[in-house]
Amino acid sequence: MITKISLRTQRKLNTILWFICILFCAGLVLIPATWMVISSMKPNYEQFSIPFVWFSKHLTLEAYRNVLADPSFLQSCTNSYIVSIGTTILTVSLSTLAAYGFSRFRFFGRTALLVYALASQMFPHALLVIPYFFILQRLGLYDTYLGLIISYCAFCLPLCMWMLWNYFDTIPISLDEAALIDGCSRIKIIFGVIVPLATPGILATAAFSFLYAWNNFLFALCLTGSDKMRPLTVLIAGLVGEYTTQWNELMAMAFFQSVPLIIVFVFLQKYVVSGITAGAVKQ
Amino acid sequence: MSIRAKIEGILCVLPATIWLLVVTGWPLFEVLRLSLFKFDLSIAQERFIGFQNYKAVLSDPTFVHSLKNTTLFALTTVVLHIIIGISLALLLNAPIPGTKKLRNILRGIFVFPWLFATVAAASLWILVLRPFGLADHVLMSLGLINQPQNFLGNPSLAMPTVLAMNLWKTYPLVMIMILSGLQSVPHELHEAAKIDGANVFQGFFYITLPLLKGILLTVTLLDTIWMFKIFDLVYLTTGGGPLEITELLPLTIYRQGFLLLKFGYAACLGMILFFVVAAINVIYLIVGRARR
Repeated sequence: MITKISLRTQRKLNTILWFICILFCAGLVLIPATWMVISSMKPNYEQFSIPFVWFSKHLTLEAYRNVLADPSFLQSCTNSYIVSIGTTILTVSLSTLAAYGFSRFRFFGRTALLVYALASQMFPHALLVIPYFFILQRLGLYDTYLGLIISYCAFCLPLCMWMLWNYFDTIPISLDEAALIDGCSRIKIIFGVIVPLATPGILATAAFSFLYAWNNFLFALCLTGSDKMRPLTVLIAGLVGEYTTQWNELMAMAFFQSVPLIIVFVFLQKYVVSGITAGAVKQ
Repeated sequence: MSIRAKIEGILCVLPATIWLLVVTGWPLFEVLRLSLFKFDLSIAQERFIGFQNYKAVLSDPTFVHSLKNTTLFALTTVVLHIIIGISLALLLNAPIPGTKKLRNILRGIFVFPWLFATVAAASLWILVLRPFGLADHVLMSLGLINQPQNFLGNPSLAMPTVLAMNLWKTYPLVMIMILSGLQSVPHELHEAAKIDGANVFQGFFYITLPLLKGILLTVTLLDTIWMFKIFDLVYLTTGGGPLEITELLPLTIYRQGFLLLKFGYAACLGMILFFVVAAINVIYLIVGRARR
C-alpha cells in the first residue's frame, strides 16, 4: 500500500503532473505552427541545412516581401476574401431567418426539413463536386465568384441553420409574445428584439461560414479554372507539388492563409465553442 | 397555432429552404442521374447504361482496395480521436485550483489545428516531414530513429504518417464535444465517490464514462462520417501513393472524374460512398436506440 502523503503534497504533485502533460500536448500542437513561422523567415538555403538549424542567424522578411509583391498572390487573396465574405453574408442572412422560423413556429414539414438539413451534412464533398462542375457550366457560373458562393452554401447553410436554430431555442419565446402584445410587427420582432439578443450565436455562425469558405479546397479546385479566379487555397496547393519549391515563400503564404481565421477566432472562441457543443448536445 | 402564425413561420423558412433544396437537391439528383450513364468527357460519349456502372465499380479491385483503406483509416482515426479527445478534455477540465484562465487559453491553443486550412497544414507537414526536416531532427535527437526517413514516400511509413497528420488536424472538434460532455458531469458525484473511497481511476470508469456514453455515441457517428470525407490532406501530401497505399475514396472519385474525365464512373463511386456513409449512420442510430 502506498504511504499516505499529505493532501497538500498530493495536490502539488497533481498540479505539477498536470503542467507537464499540458506542456507536452501544447508543444505537439504549437511546434509545427511555430515551425511554419520560423521557416518563413529563414533564407531558402538554410531550410534543409546540415547541421540542423532551429533559429536562423540570418532572419529575414524577404519571403513576406516577395509574396506581398506577387500579383497572383494578391489576386488570390482578394478572391478568397470576396468569396468568403459573400458566403458568410448569404448564409447568415438566410439561416437567421430560417432558424427563427424553426424555433418559433410549428408547421407542416418542419421536422422533415430539419432532418434534411442534418442529413445533408452527410453528403461527401467529392460526391457533390461532380454535378456542381456541370451545373455551374450550364448556368455560366463556372469560374465565377457567384458560382463558388452558391456551391459553398450547399454545406454551410444547413449547418448554420441547425446551429442557429439551437441557439434561438435558448431565447425565451415570452419576449416575442411581449413584443407582439405591444403591437410590433413580426419583422420588427425579429430584427429589433431577437437578433440583438442572438448576436453571439449569429457571430459564431458567421465565423463558421467564413472558416468553411476561406479554407475550402476541393470545391475551389474543381469549380475555378483560371488564374484570375482561383482562391488562395488553390494557389498554395499549386505550389506544393513543384520540385524547386520556395519553402520560405510557401510558408509565408500559409501564414497569410491562417492568420485571418486565428484573429477572428481569438475574439469569438467562446461563442464558436458553444455553437459546436449546442449542435452536438441537441442530437 | 393560428393560421396566420403558421404562414409567418413558413415565410421565414421559405427563402432558406428553397435555396437549400436547390443547392443540395439539384446536384444530388444530377449525380444520381450521371451515375447511370457512361459519360466519358475525353471521348465525348454520353450513353445510358443503367446499373452497369455500379457493377463495374463493385468488381473493380482499385475501388475495393480504396474502400478497405478508407474504412480502416476512418475507424482507426475515430478511435484515436476519442482517446486523444478524452485525454485532452480531462486535462482541460481538471479542477486544478487557480488555472481557470489558463485553461481557457489552452482550450484555444488545443483547438488551433482545426483553424488551419488543409492546404496550409499540408504544405507545412510536407516541409516538416522532408528528409533532414524537423521531424527527422527531433526523432533522431530523441534516439528513436538513426537515419533520415522518407515519411511520405516509404510504403511502410506512408499510412501511419497520413494518419498522424490527419489526427493533428482533426482532433479539436471531437475534443470540444467531449469537453462539453465532461462539463455536464456534476462535481457532487465525484465527491461522493471520493468519500466512499474511490480513487481517480474508479471515478473515471464508473462515473464519468457512463455519463459520457451519449455524447461519445454522437461524436463517433459524426466523426466517422467526417473521416470518410477526408480528401485535401491526403491529396496534397501523398496523392494516394506510394503504390496506392494511402488511397482514399474521395481521392479515387476525384481522380476518376477530374483527371481521367470518366464522370459517369466517378458519379457512381460518389453514390456508393454516400450509401456507405448512410449505412454507417443507420447502424449507429440502431445501436443508439438499442442502448436506451
